[in-house]
Amino acid sequence: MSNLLKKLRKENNENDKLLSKENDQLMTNMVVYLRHSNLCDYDIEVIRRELFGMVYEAQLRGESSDMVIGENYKGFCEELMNSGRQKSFYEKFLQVAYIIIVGTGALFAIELIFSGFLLELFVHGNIYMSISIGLLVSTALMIAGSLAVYWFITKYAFELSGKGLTRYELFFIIGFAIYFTGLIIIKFFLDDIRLFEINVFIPLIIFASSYLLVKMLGERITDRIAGSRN
Amino acid sequence: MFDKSQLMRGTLEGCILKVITMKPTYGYEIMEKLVCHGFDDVREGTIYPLLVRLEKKKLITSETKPSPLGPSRKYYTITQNGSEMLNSFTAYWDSISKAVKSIMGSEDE
Repeated sequence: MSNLLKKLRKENNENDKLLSKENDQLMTNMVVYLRHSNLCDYDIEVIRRELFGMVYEAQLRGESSDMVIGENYKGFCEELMNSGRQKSFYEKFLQVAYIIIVGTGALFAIELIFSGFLLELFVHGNIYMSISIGLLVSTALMIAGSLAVYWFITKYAFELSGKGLTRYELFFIIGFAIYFTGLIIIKFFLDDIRLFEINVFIPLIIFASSYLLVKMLGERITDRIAGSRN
Repeated sequence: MFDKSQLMRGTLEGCILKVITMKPTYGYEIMEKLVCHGFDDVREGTIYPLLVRLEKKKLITSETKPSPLGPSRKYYTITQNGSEMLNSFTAYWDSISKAVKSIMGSEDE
């Protein structure tokens, strides 16, 4: 993460502690909903800082947030999404690439630990790992599932924060249960179908270098955007 | 029932530019000025997305200054492009408001 983005996020997290419980919940819902948009992370944090100023000053004046923002919080966020600078195709590509690289890398590391490979490595010096259909399919499904969960939570941020069990939460719970069961079944039945063996250092080097590259490119864009704002 | 939001959206940007022309100002103060001149339904949340849009179009610039109430405030100033936009909005508003008044005031044919 860019240093400027990190610094701004830290400042915003500190500011949130000054808000009342209701205002803090409202700010959280708005920021999560904004993450559903095409606005870049830095711009969302800038908006978050400005919204905090509006909501906090209203709080100090003894006014409620709907007197400042109105009752249609979703509509307000959508106006902001349409007014702000949209992410370019290159930025969206970097963001998705980052998620895929980090997600796949993490799942690969988990597989290294739980598949017994480490035991093979330290006891027999075997640096080759089996790649099965189950591993490939479950990895792809887990990445797709994570993106779907992120999309769902950001799109329905306001609906999910309602009192009691909402139909959106029910849909999420049932959907997740079906998805998770399917994942276990796939892993169970397809894990034994071995496709090939790979020297484990090759994917590790690929993950590490592509992670560093995408992170550096992303930070460069964030610094450029932050520089143009300040 | 007439949907006034479209009409509001079209005119508020020009009115905000006019308020900012008077002196460097911030969101809440702009809102108070608009309410003072008869925009009863306007809130700070109504104009904030418009300020974001105006800044994106480089019609206004902003500067963050400390505020007596706590968090820093963003003060807006109009740019040269903003002044030109305001002039063309004012000219267009003069001609369209005359045309609307004329039609509304005319008898049925």
